[in-house]
Amino acid sequence: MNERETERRLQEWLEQQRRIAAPTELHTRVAAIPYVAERPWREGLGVALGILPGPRARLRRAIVVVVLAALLGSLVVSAALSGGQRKLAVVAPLPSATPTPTATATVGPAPSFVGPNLGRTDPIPSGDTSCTADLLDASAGGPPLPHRSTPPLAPGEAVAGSVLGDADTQGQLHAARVRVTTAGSVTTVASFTSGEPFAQTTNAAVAGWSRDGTTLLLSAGRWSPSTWYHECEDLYLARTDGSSLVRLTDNRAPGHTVWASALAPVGGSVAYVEVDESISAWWLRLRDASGATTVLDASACSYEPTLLSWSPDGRSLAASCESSVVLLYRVDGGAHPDLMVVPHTIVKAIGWTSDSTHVVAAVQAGGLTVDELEPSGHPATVLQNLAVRPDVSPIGGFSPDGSKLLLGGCPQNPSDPACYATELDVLDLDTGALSRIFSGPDSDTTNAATQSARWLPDGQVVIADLKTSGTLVIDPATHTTTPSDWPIDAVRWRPSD
Amino acid sequence: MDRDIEIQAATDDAGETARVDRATTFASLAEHHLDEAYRLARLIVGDAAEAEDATHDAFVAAWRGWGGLRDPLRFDAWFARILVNTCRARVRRLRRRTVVDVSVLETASDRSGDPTGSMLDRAEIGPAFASLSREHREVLALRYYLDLPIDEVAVRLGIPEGTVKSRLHYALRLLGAALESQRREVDR
Repeated sequence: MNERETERRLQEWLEQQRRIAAPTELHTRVAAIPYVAERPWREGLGVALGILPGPRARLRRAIVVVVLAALLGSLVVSAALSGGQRKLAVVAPLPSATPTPTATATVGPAPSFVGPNLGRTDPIPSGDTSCTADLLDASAGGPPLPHRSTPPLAPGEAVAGSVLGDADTQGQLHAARVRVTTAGSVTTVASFTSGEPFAQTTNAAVAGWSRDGTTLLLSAGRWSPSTWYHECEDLYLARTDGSSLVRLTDNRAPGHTVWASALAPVGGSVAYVEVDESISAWWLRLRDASGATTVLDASACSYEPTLLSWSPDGRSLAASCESSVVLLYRVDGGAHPDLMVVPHTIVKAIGWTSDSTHVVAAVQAGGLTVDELEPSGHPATVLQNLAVRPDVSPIGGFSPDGSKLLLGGCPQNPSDPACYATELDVLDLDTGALSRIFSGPDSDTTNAATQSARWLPDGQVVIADLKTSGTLVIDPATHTTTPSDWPIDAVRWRPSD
Repeated sequence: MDRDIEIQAATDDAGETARVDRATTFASLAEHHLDEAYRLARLIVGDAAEAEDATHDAFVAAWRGWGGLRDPLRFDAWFARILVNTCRARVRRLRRRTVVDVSVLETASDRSGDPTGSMLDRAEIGPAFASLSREHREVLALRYYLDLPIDEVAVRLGIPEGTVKSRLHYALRLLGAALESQRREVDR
């Protein structure tokens, strides 16, 4: 049964589900909620601790005081015995570029399919012909746009980001542009127009910017009209002056798309995960500056990598799939990876130390820990352990220099059970200090969310503010928050970056 | 002294009126959204009784956070997040108990008024859907039942967009495989 047929039947069944009514008893229970005593446990706890009046309140209060004093004393003694010293991470250099035999046996068989380049006009397994036409009319440059930038840019600085939503007469979104804004001008770098009227353009976004400021990695795609989630997304390399646009992939065939991509900061290499959903195949590809493409061996991953991270020197690539495996590739060392196994955990974010010697990973194993990974399965060094904060997750990933991790919290806050007012914290991996850089939206929590936070290459943070449909730029050092008209995929480039 | 008591009584009355208004508004919204919430909970939790409890717990949480919701027009999205969070917590607890009940989604309403052969389709897909993992049910429910775009699903679940796409893909594949398997059983 192909996916389209499965989708059809699922949607039909879901329509049937919409007829189901909640049991009458549940209506009664829910209707009573606002009228019953709020949090009766509070009252019970208050009485138990002797704070509220009750029988023998004085005696209970005395017992509580004694127990608390004993606990405090044991903590003080424990701290004194441990000497109060924090263990420092052992930083060792990476092994040589010589490929190391992979340890695939330690993670079981490798069911992923590593194959040749995708065919372009092969018969379509799903019978879906909607994607065979050109999805997007992509072109370099485009009409000039009015200049506007908040906050103002200094001379030499530039911001790139996508502008979605050029509306046609029916009010449907069908075009997107990527623009670069400097202190005095706006350049349209690329324009993407949907190949069919009224079809939505999605995900025109800036995926990376070379360190020399000349090249952008863009992704752009369009919904396939016949399925709900095939985006038929392609990757493009664009010159920031709008003079050239090169398509790296060709995903016109149905089910073909790109799920993750990363541009090396130097050297011009691009790594990406290309997918053929119609046959459940995926390829981790490496395209070098000459345009040659290599399929990397990612057979240790049961599922496709969803996290890709280049080392700052552009010579190594780390890839993590949705399992306890991180693969390490040396661009000059061939396609055979070093394998780093993170036992019994899920990798949530990966990054590099600033000297490009080590991969750091945020892993979820009950609580969150930040590990410095060792190649070939050697035990990882735990840099930080946030097990006491199960509410935080590394939504922003590692800073470009690998020294900090951007965390978003979803604390058990009765006033915000939907977790819209997510706070943002920065964890300093050297000191272990956790500093609050954003306390969440300060107004209507229902219209704002801070989940979509990301680092800029210069170490500042951009977050979405859904209430204003704009963004905020935060300086993690000063905690200064500046409203911005930059798009959420904005990337700022500075000559010193 | 009497005047102080009068002022205090008036203040108490005003506070009580506000509290009642607040409760009435919430009860009205809850009643309006209850069926939809219960259906979504059934899809994610995969167990009718647990879905009832999850829905109730979600409304309790929503009532406790009611003061933070300044715009009742946004109740829908706000409450959906609470419900998803509550369902996830429920499923985590269910998993510890290793309860698998694949029959609950095949209800009387599925079978009623269905003189055509399509009844077989729905009878198959309920258990197949329930046999998926919580992660897969969750992502299918948000995408196909709530019609949320990929980026919104990612935000609500706190996972990268790429992971959403991946899970959608594999969920559909697994669902298709389960249906194929059932069809073969029927043919046999």
